Amino acid sequence: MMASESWRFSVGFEEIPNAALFVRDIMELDVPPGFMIPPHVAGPLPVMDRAFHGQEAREAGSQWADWWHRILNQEVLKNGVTHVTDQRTRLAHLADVVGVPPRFVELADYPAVQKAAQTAFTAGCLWAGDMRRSLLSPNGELFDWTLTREVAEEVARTLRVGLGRVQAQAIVLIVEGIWWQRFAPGIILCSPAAALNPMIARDILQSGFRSGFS
Amino acid sequence: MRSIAPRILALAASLLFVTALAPGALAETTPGSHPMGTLLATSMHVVRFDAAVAEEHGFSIITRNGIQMSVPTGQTDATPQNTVGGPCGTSYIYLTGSILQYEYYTGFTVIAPAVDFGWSVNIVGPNFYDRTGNWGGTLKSARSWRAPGKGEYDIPVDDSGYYDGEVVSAASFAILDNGEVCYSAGPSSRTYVNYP
Repeated sequence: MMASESWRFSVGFEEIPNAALFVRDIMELDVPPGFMIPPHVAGPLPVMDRAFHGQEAREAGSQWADWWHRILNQEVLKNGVTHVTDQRTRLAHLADVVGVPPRFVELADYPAVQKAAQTAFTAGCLWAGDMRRSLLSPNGELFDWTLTREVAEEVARTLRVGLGRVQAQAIVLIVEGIWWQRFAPGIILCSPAAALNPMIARDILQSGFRSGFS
Repeated sequence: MRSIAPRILALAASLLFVTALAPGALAETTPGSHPMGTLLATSMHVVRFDAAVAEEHGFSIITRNGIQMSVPTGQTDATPQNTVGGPCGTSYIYLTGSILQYEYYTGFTVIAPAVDFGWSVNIVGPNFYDRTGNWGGTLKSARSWRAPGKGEYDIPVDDSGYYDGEVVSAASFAILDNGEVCYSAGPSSRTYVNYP
């Protein structure tokens, strides 16, 4: 079998975007509804007595939306940073986009969300790590591989394209309920519950593969 | 994991040799990891890369850290993710940060029994932190392999900051009992390590 005929499905289930969602919800930011704003994070959150209110919550919420889109773009690396990019370059880019705890000086242009991140981001990383451990199988899988293969081959047959052109990726966000959304061609955002539900997972895979073939 | 036909095993062995020369491969082995098996004990060596032959077999020639190497095509423009799957299986790595420590685990699942494997993980962090873990050797027809066998490695570090771990695609593979070589598509993971 030629390697060039390989389909590909990758899953990103990282702490950092989930920590950003944790910041939004535990600080009670008032985020304006918009494109790619996920639901509330899953599970009960600890009580944060320094949560924002009123104008501060609205201002931080608006800034959070910008920060969130930058983080999502960083996650899918639409800005030209690729896998072969040196790991240190990737880390530098991550620090630029997300900011570096505890001071987050990189977010100086977003003072309200900077304050929220200073307060809750590192706790969010720990929360996301613990949640992820509880959700993943011992071999690190969330999507069923047999189903993934079945859908990849089905999409290739239906679209009459080589398997090598069937590629997609999912970014898993620890939000409540069954939720998923296409972020860009071939890139799906989804909740763990959506990935673990065979019928929903099939829809996610079909949408990703169909929109992502090159 | 991506399947490669047996007839390019010689190319695979050559790739291992090049990987052994890469700066990361000379770094200190990650505490708790197992030493690499006998797969690097080859008398083959790389004289040059033939881009046309590499392309024919689904590889691309790239230069990393000043060293020319061949990686499975697709890795040149792929985005790093925790788990990456393809026709012959999946591979994964997860880093989780805590207080002046990170934890990680890595491994693969393949569609047919594997008889041999090689695996390499590189983790970088603040202040020139750079560690490589290598594993390899025979597998008794296992369809999966994981390091550690269960749980996670706990790696203490001196500095807080972001850490980036990746499975080194060109050196991470499983040889199936039908002779196919499945290469990892090179998943990666990032985490933040905090101060107390």
